[in-house]
Amino acid sequence: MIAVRVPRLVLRAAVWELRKVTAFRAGFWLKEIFRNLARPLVMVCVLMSASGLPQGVAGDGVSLQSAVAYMVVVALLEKLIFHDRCLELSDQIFQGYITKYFTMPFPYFVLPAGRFVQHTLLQLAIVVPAWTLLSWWIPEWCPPPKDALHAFWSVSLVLTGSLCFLLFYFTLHALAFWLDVVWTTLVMARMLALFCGGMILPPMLMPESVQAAFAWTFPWWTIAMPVQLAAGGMGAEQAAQLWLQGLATLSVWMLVLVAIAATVWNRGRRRYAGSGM
Amino acid sequence: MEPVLEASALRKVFRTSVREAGLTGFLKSLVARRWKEMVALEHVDLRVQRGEFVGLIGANGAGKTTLVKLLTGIIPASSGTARLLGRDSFHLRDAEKSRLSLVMGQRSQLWWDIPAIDSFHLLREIYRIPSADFDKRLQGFAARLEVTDKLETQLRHLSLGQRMKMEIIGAFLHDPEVVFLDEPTIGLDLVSRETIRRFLVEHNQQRGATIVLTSHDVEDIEATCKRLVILEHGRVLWDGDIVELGHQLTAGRRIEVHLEPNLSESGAPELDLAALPLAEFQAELSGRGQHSLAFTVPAAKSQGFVRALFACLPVRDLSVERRPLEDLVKQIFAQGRRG
Repeated sequence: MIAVRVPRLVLRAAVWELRKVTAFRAGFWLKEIFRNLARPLVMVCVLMSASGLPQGVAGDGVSLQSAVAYMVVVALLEKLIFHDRCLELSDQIFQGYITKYFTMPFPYFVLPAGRFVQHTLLQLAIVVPAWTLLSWWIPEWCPPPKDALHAFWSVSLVLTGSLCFLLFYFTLHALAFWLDVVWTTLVMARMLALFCGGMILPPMLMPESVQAAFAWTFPWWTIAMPVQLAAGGMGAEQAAQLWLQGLATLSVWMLVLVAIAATVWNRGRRRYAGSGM
Repeated sequence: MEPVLEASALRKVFRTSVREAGLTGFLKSLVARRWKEMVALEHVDLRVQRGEFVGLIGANGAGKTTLVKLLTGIIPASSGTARLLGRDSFHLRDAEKSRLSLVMGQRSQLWWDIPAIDSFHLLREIYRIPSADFDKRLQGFAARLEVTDKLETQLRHLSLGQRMKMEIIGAFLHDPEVVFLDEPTIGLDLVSRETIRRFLVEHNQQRGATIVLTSHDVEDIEATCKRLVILEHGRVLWDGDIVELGHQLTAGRRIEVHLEPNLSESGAPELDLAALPLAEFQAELSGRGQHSLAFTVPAAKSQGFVRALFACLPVRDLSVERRPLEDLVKQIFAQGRRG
């Protein structure tokens, strides 16, 4: 029964969320279409400025073109990753709007899950044609995936990692049961996660030891590795092995994040005083 | 018969931090924060049977909303028990939650940026309402609350009254057995208030729903409830049938006398209140303005007292009214404070 009911509820919540994000046209374009594009594009400009020459060397044996191409694909794939501003949980806790959901016969997590489904489907509908178009138009700056299998490996890791980001941000939002500085915490945590995931600086410009350390984190397998997998710069066997390793790492992270999120939620729930009601 | 709602020796204590004023206070709070315990509810006993319409009133901070939050399982009790539909309120299962509803007058639960109908469709899925029932109820409720043509309008473009009506539709769509309404008429105009009151009374009578209405507006309570619970400083001050209060209402009259402004040099009318036979008619002076006086007097003695007023005072105008419920509530509060 639950196996049927919860997916139905999540789908209904996804439709509801879609209605919310499309309520205002300007908000829709800014938050859904252009979100996450500014920073990678700024980084492209930074890389080009740092190199001094359009086709020069950006780092030790790394061409500017490969670094820029990496950032362009990051800009596209990052749009698929769940964003902390997709959730309203902390606002709902602060302002007491969450109160009524506690009296309703459903697990609250259905709403964030609905937002996740809505966000993923909408961003896929944006990213797939955008990537196709850009890779046809400027293939040297926006390379297409090597083939369909590499594209699948890459996108499946991004989406699995995006689920980790949902759990990560949900936990941080739930800290609003205790803290009044959740937004600051979210901004700091996001910057750290972006850096670990190679979304601020291409991994090819990082020291090997730093790359090895970041490979233990879920952001690394959510974006840095999927971009490299899509480019197809390694053999098929090695790519398949990395894909499996990525799925295993992300699965372990997901289990850990589920446990943390559930603990924080349940403890916060007991602490909740329904302020503002 | 098992009560639908039950509170037994219910107590709730909130722990709040105390911050002293000024820079020193700020620095102290950074190093060692002081905490203070605030008792919101103290030993509350309450039993509500199926189909009752209970009014819950009290001053700000009396504990009304805390009681609602405890009974609906939003927050856990510090001690004592709160039970809803036979189960501990803080551990309600989906089976009990689907028979419960909560309306908060100060907190809209429908999404601000989209039409109410979209949120209703989500509620249909959450409460598993069959499509036929959903359509029938939605159309019926919207017609009764006069908002049929507003269902597809963005919530932010509706008036306060229309928004509250949408909240009420959302709360009743799943045909709940127990409904809590926390100040549903706050800030509404008279027509909207009347429409909502009528809707609630009809629903209570037709569907047998148990309704707990929290309000600062005694008129709301008088127009809808059969039972009244008055809270003061976290304790139940009065709990009883509103008809019983009605007997006290009909047993008392409020007489307001407007006096001729034949003023003395000081500007105040020359009155000899000592000449009034207050004791003889068991009357009490309950208010005094510059040119007016108000008395409360037993109904049986009001006629004689009016004659005495005309005999003793320069009466320009006089009105006799049934004593308002608000007066009685104030009296109960005053008695409670005296202990």
